[in-house]
Amino acid sequence: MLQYLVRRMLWGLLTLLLITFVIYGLIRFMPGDPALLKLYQESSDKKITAEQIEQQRKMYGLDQPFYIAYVKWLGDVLTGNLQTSFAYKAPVSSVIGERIGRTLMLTINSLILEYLLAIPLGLYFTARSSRLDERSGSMLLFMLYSLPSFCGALFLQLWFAVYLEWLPLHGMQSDNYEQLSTLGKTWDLFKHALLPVAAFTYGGLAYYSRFLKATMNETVRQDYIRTARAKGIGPLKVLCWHAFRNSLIPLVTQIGLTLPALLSGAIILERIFSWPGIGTLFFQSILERDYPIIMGLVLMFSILTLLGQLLADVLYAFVDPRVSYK
Amino acid sequence: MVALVTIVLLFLVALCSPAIVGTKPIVCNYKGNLYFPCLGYFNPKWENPIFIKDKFRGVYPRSLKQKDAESWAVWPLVYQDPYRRVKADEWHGVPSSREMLDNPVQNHGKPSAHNFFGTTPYGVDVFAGMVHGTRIAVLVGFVSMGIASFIGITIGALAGYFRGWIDVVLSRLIEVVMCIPTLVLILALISVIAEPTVWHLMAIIGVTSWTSIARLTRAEFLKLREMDYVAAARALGASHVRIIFIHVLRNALAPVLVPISFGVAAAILIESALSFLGFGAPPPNPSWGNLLHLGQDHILGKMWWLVLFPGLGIFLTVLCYNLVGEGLQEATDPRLRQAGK
Repeated sequence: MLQYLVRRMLWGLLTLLLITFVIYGLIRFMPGDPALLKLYQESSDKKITAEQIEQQRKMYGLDQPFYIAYVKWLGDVLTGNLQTSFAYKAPVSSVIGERIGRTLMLTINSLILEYLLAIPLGLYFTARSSRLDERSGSMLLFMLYSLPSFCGALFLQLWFAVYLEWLPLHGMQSDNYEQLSTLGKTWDLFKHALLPVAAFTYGGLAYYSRFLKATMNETVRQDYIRTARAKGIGPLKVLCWHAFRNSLIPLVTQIGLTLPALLSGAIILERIFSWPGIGTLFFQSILERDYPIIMGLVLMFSILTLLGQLLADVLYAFVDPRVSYK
Repeated sequence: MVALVTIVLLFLVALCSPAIVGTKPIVCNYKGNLYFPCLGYFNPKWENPIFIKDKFRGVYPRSLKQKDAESWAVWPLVYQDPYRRVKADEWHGVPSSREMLDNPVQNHGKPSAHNFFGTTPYGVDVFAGMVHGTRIAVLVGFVSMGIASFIGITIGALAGYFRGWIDVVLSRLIEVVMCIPTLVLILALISVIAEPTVWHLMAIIGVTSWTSIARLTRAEFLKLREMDYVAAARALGASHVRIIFIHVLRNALAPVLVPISFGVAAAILIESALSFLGFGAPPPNPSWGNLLHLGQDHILGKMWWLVLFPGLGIFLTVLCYNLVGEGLQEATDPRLRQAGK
């Protein structure tokens, strides 16, 4: 097991190196120069001299070819320094750290909701297999699963925020947020988060309940379930106790695979709801050519993806004694 | 089955889009020659230069009559344009009793008898945009998945057939590509291109989404290469290339169609998401995502038709491809087939 872990870690590190190198090369080839952009913003009327540009480029480390700059970036990362953002003039780690909580607020809540709702739904549909309500329910879930999240988010916005005016259209706080009491602040946040969380949740909910139903359908046909039924155990207990416990294995390992989606899944939805989290930051940094931020986020996404896959495999061995990595 | 029919229908709509909605005649007789100006919707170069030389300025009905009284033309079913606002006096067939005939602008363009799905804030017909947008949707699905299946099947087949160190190297490659966050890579790639077009988008989606196809092909090849008929082919002296592409691939293809079908749905989804975010093809291109983007920009104008129709279009297309993928999966996966009985 230990040997397996070490091998996986080494491969993971190599993968990380490759990914960051490729992305670093790519973003350096993007048209547009952050140094020029910066100078234009600072001096709208004055002429910019070639000297100034050179100086600014040097400050950003753009005067070197990208592979040298990459090695420098890598060295900085290894010493725990993610460099300084061009646009925010603050360390990348603190810029990201400031926003990561807001993203997690959406994604973790929706993940909890997904599991809370998907498990009873999946069980219910297994129990009512092939009946009318199960068929129509499954069809509905399949449709939800196929509804792209940005379409769903727009429909939700249009209906609840524009026509009914029950909930705010976008943003995270109202304009008078600072004057509200603690309770009022929470309520305000809740109202703003409701639509994004709903848009996050429905796709995953459909996915997990379909997933659970599929694995349950397989488990239910196993011999030991028939034995349990033959012993005279009630259908509810067979389903929830005997069958569900074994269907839980793939469901648990799925958690690992959803780890990267927790952050990167937010990119599109945060943009729609103008939610000031990681996704919005990523977009801005691409548009502003804020290389350190892009690299910091790419590094984070890739590490999460790799960790998620590793976690899934380890969890798999952990919950299923039949699996071992020897 | 319904899904398959819908997809075929989508293809037909895409193929006939200029004949369904447009402002350019399907066939016209002008100064004694036959022309097909509607082909200009597929590629501006296919529109005969004579119409530019004679200063038609894209408005056909009036110009045709003015410049050649003898001319005749067969028109598309609906006279609307996906690129520009259609004016009242353009089309002689419109009954003159209607008060306002110009396509409405701002948020007045509710769906009506003239604009089935309403109009955008700039007076462009949404129905025309939707019909011409199917072209992009169909193209994106097929071109990008064509690229992805080519890469995926080749890599998967080589890895599964030769095993050994080739398999190790290619499997690692698959794993590495799988780890790259797709959306991040796509956004980075698009930003590198100065003026992205739909074709760039398709290529990018293609080169980033071949991993699941490669994995499945590899698994199938690992299984099939041990079959007797492969040994027989080898004994007959068939070359590796022949065995891979003629004998084994043909048998491996059915299960590989499953990720391809889901991939088409995902490609359409990614394209519309990118256009929606403003990273896609430049706006005059009628893509469903672009229309949806307009809808979001003007959401406070309560223009529900700008959100509902393109949204439904994307949703239904993705749903159909997913259903087809699901059906294929059920047909090819023996475990699921047992479950059905």
